[in-house]
Amino acid sequence: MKKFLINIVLFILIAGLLATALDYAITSGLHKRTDYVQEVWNDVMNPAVDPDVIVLGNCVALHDHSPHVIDSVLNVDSYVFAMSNLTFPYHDFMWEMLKQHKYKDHSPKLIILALDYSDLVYREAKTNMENEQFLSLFYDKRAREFLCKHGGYNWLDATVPCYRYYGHKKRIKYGLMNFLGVSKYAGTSEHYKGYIGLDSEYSFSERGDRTFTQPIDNNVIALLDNFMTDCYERGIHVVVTLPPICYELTDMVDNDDEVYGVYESLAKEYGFDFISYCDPFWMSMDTTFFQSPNHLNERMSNIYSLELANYINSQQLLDNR
Amino acid sequence: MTINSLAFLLFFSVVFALYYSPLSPKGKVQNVLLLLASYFFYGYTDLRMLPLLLMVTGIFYLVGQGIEKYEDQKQSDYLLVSGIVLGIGMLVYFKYTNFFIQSFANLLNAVGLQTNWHSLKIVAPVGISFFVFRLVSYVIEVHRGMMSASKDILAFATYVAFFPCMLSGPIDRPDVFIPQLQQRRSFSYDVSVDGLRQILWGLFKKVVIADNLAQFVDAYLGGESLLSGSTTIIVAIAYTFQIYADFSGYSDMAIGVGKLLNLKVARNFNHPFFAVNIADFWHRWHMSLTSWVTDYVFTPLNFSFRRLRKWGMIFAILVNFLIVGLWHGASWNYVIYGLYHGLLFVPLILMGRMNANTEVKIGWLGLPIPKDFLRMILTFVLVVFGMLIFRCSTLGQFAGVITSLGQGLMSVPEIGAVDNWLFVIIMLVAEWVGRKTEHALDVSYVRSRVLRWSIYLLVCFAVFMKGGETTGFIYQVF
Repeated sequence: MKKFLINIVLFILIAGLLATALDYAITSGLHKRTDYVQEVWNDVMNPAVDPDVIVLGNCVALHDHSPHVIDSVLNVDSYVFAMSNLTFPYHDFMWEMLKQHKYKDHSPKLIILALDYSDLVYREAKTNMENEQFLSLFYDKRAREFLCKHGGYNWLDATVPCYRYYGHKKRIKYGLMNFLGVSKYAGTSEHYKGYIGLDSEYSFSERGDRTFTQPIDNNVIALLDNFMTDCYERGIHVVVTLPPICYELTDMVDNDDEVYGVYESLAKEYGFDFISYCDPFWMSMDTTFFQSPNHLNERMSNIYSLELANYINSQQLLDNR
Repeated sequence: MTINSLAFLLFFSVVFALYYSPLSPKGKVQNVLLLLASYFFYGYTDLRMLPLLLMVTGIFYLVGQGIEKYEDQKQSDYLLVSGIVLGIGMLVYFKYTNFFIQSFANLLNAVGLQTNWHSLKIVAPVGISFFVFRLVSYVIEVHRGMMSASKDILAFATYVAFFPCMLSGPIDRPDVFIPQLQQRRSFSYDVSVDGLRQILWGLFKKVVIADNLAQFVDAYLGGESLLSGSTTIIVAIAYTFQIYADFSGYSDMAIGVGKLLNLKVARNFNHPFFAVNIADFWHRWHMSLTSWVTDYVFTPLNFSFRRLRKWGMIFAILVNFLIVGLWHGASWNYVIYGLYHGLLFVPLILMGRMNANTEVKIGWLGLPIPKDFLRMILTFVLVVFGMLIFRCSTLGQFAGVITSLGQGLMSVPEIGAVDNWLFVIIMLVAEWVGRKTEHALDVSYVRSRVLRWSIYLLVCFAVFMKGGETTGFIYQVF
């Protein structure tokens, strides 16, 4: 039995060492990839990318805020740091990561915080449709802690090499191939500074008479409050914006006014701007402006970005910053 | 808790540690531990059915005692028949009631009599086909005098509920398994190491091959659209490898766990794709079920109808395979699957080749000679067609598949991910090389430890690379 146990331990040790090397290879390979999510995370961790204006939010931030327009109107360097289908705790997490890697000793001039009716809850990153973006972040202590505490990952993901990659076959393959320098697996990038315009026809499969009440988590409200305190103390102005959402969807949300009321009161408390482009805003009233109920098409996202940039200009929010 | 899950690893680690610890100084204590572990495992899977398992275990234990106790043959026969009726009755009730109701209603509807019969809400206990066959086997063996009735209810209950084999077999025989439980099992290094190897090989087959082929097969056979003939053939081949890798993978893991406990579990597969005729195939495929029905159905029937010579044997084999088909469940495709395989035996019986030599002759580079290779291919083709019948859940779906076979046979087929097929080839090569051993990863003959461990690590790497699909075991529903 003693010999058996010694051999088992020895085998586990060797396998563990090899798994550590493999984990490193996959993660390094993934960091070399040029797909959208990976490039954005690489830019988060790259101090050379140093935008004046950052846009935080979920997919409404990603698809509706065009840095082409914002940069040209405001004469700044902007970047959209968004994570699809995730809520405010993840925007806050992104902000923490940006502070750690980019804004240690200085701050962006302005933060555009793009929110929607769904932002006041926790969601699991692990079950997110783009969850694979988080796998290569586990080398970062803060990311690891956040993802294990709120993202649905556990201590095995955080401590056992390769464990979190199990089942992500494509990600493993892409990471290894990139590590080995096979360019075929480098991925394609279709974003411009974190923005992706959408140009397909409008579709909304869940259209119907049913309505739903969006949950509101007080812990998330407290987190939003902390975020604003942090920005206020660092002298960063925040524009809380509600990008247009098609009326077909907002009609289905029973308590969107309540959610937006929370955003507005917090923003006003800190002297930040709150601006709603949601229903009954004219852009929300025509389905042909949208690609899906939450996302404007590319043409309208440029128009919306222009409206937002003009607002920032008109309020002189970037002056003396 | 499936046998390839992390939860099972934790569960088994605790059982293993206690099993060989000083806390288990006697075989009986080990049996108590195994029984508690088995009931925990079963309850974890389906708690509602645990009382039923306890009840039938008790009843069959008493029936076994009764059969041995009564010297009067008639009373003993009566008890045997009671036991068999109870066991088969349970199977019929839980698995076939709705099938009979629906089939009878369909028949009446077909002759113009409208019925309004509804299916009953019956939930079949998990693993019922396996534990019922173990119980029935026990009373028959005691009645035949091949073993004495177990005095030790602990050993008997452990045999019935032994957790590695509870959900998907193999179906152990009482005369082999129970005696092992009647003494303390001490740790054996060589057996345990081989058990670990066999578990790893089973895991490879399940996770790398079966689960990945399942994605491909389900995508094509589950859909409504008609496939081209060539794609249908590829999907059928993929399904054949999937079901083999799935079921034999489970069996390997169960046998491996048994070895870690120093218990010999019945072998279930013997490299079936190297069979040179259909009889040889069934000597290698789901061996514990095949030997069960051979001993308790085919042999008695064949003996009863021996006057009819070959026709008696044909009748016995058809009944035998009808039972094999129906054992899988209540569905016409299983009936046809059984009869199809039964009919494949007819030419062999008529030509007197049932027990022909199936030893494969080896030629160039250690490969089979062309004649034997062709026989293997022919057998494989017959098996693949049978698997198509097995896979189709309705006769309508089967008819659709047969129709699709007739069109686009020469078109370029869909084959799915190429690496899935690469791993199938690796499995076949490994099994061919290791065909004299119980499992393909038995590399104990390799002297270099570095080489042996490198092989294990490579298999682990393949599991990591290709694993993660969470599909259950196909035979777990039987």
